[in-house]
Amino acid sequence: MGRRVPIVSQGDLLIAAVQEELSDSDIQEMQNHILLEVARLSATKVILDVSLLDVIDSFGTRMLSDIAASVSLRGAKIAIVGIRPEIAMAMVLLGLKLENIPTALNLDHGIAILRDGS
Amino acid sequence: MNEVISSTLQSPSKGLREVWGWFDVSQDDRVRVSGLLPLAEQNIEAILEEFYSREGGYDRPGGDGPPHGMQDVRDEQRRHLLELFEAGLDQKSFQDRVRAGLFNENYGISPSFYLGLYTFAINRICDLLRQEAEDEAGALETEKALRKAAACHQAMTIEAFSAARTDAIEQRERQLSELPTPVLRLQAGLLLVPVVGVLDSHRSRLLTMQILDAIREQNARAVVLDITGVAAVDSMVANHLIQTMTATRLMGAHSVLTGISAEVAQSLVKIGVTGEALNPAGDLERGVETARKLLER
Repeated sequence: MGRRVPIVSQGDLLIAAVQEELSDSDIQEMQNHILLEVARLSATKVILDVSLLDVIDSFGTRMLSDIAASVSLRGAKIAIVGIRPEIAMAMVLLGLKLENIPTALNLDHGIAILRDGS
Repeated sequence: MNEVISSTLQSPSKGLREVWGWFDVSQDDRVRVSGLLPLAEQNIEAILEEFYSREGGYDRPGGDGPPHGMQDVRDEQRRHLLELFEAGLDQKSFQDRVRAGLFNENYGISPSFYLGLYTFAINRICDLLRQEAEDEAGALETEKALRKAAACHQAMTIEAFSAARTDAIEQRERQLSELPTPVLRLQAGLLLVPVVGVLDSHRSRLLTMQILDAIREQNARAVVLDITGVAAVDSMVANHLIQTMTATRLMGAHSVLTGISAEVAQSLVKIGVTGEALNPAGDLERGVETARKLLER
């Protein structure tokens, strides 16, 4: 079964690039996959790149925060990068604030944030 | 403008008949009033002249001679007063009232001045009526009818006046809320957004999208939102600001709010908004400083 979300690793850094138009099950599978990879590669930093995502519903927004929370429980730090203006607006209107999760404009910035924090 | 007023000032459902009814103006009264038309036509110019020339009638401090547009005003007043004696019940009469109200609004004629002139003219006409009348009881009846019709006439004009005024205010507010908000680049990665005017939900949505797009385009890492020019901040506006700043954070940029005046601070505390959500800085200078520090992080 082909994975819809490619996950690449570099050192202790894991990068998951979310593709456009993910179904609910795709998102759930992505969550499992990320958590498995974090354990397998003992990654300490995870970046979730959502710059390709151009629509999001309430389920999607909740899954984003769930993924972030579960990765933290696995002992890794996570940053969400590349949230588009429309997505940011939609998330705010849906009431999701990602309160304790660092966000960044792009991958470079996201990596820098995770580095500085450690 | 005329069309706007006509649509906001609803004509009474049963036509003017209903309004005349409120003021107890009967068919007989209207006949009596329209009988006065020749008398009024003959004397109206003299009455207006007397009103303006007598002491205290109309003297603007420091004004030499009639101010610009005064002739227009007098022409309109003559026309307006004569309309009373038509005592019409049709749409034309109603439209005339609306027009008179609009005229007063446009020329800045206050209701008191309008009513003063009107009362003056009616009293003069009543004086003339009494002098010329042969039958005293009939003259008294006519006078009563005239006063009732005049009250009704005035009420409708004042109503149109206040509708015109409300409309003018709303229009100005709309213009103010449509002021564009520039997103300025202070330095690489640092944006400044001075918000001026009234923040309603439509405008704040636009503002948020503008800021978010600018963050993306310019790769901004910090935004300073200055609300010195926002007159009042209620819970809705505060909510909009918080939403804007949350969206900014989701994009990965820091935001700083500056320009909170003492009054705004007090009203924010009263509606339960604390500082943390807004990340405030004292003034623009310190706000920019804070934002620069955030950039270096």
